[in-house]
Amino acid sequence: MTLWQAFLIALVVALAYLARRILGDPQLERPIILGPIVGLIAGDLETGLIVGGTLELIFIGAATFGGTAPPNVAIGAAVGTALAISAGQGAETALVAAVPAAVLGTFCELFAKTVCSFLVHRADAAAAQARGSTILGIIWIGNAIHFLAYFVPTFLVLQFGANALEGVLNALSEDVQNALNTSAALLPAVGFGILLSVLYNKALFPVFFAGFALAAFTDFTVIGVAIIATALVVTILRSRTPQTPQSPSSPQSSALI
Amino acid sequence: MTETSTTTDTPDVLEQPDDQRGEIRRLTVRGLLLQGGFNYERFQNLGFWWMMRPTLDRLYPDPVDRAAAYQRHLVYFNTNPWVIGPIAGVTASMERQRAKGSTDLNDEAINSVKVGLMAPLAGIGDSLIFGTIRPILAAVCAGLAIDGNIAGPIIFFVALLAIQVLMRVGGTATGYRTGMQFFEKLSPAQIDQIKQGATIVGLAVTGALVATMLKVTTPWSYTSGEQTIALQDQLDLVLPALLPLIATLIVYALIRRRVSPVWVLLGTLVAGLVFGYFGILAA
Repeated sequence: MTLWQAFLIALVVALAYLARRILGDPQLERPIILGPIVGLIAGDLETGLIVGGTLELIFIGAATFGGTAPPNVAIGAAVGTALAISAGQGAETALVAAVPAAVLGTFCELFAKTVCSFLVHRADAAAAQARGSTILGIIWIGNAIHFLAYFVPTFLVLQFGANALEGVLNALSEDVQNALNTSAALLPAVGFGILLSVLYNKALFPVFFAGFALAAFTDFTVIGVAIIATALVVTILRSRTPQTPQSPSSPQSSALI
Repeated sequence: MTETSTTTDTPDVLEQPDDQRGEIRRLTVRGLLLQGGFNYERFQNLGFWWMMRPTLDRLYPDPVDRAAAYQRHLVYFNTNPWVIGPIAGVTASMERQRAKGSTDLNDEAINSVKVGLMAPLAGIGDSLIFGTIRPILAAVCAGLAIDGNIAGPIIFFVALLAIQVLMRVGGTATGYRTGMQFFEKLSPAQIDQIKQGATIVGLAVTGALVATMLKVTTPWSYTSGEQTIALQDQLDLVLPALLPLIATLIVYALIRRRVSPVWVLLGTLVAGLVFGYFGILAA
């Protein structure tokens, strides 16, 4: 990992996150997107694809942790992919670094959002005098804080942390490699379990087992199950027009904060 | 051109259909800014103001009215960014009525419509997009990516982008043209149905994900007489993918019990390392 590679990767990560702030929410910071891009920068697209895909499964429900801050999938993906390529020990090995990096990265976003709280009062003062340009300047300061909160930690971890870990990973025995592979295979259970709790609905829960059985006992793929479920849902909804207004569903705060 | 008119006059700038189309287009594009300056005190309030600014500037040339409008839209706001379209449209249409002199649209009325829209629409956005559509796409595309196929990330990005653009363009236009009626038409029963439908598909897909994408097995075997019998083969006879199902349900139970997802994540990492090292589980 050269200085320039670390710089470029950190830039890509921070820009992908900035896109969530000011370019709609194009999901650029998902591991499946960042993995291949980091792979290209580090010189191994294929490993980037594999690490990105694997991390995508682990974090498949990760944006929707209620009101709490989700693990930082962008920093996790960048560190995992970069390390997998520079250590050359396979995608599974990288996960052992990617997961803690994503967990620690949680604080980056918390930090930015907390610091931006102080800006709001300055915006209030400017609004009282109808000074739009001042508010705009304040917003851009906020955006810069968000950008730096991703850029700086990613760069530092890649430049200093990854190089140190590389040597450790290269010295691992076969038993430890097996352990890492098992961990990598087990981790998507976290993504699926979280997705399940996000979708929790007591009355509808058996549908989960129906989907599981359909795919476990037959050759049905995920798309196949999705098509069947969608067809059933559309049929049921069409045959039953909404009658009396029910009690409104409990207001949910947005998951994507 | 509205520099000289005051708000009690009728600003006719937005009365022409062309101007309305331009306004809808601008609101659609500026809806992308919603999460700018995101903060923990009032969440998307700075972004909401940013999105509305040109509309407010056009409607309220008078500094006093403009300051009031700025302050009106710097209050707490938070929704799913993909569903901002209708909210932006309805809010702009209310502000236009107010600028024309409608007196019942005071600060409270405008804010309560915004709040009334943001919560149910966030519910739809969260369950439909982040609970159903994105996981389906992610699962399929991650499968491709893990096989080294560059189509995985490309399909993921393009498909989500197309859905988002459609939602934003259609949503803003509908909200702007129907105005307050949009709020009244949005029946809780209908919202519930959309959410339930999305949940059903999401649950079925999650089940399929567990069965197909989670590849945990056990290398254990035992001897019965002359034969060595692999435990995994026995398990497969009863229920294929039993171990993945158990692992997922354990995670699910922990999350439901409000164990922090971060601890579950780290715990699973460690559990995988330990079970893998001692040969209890394998990839």
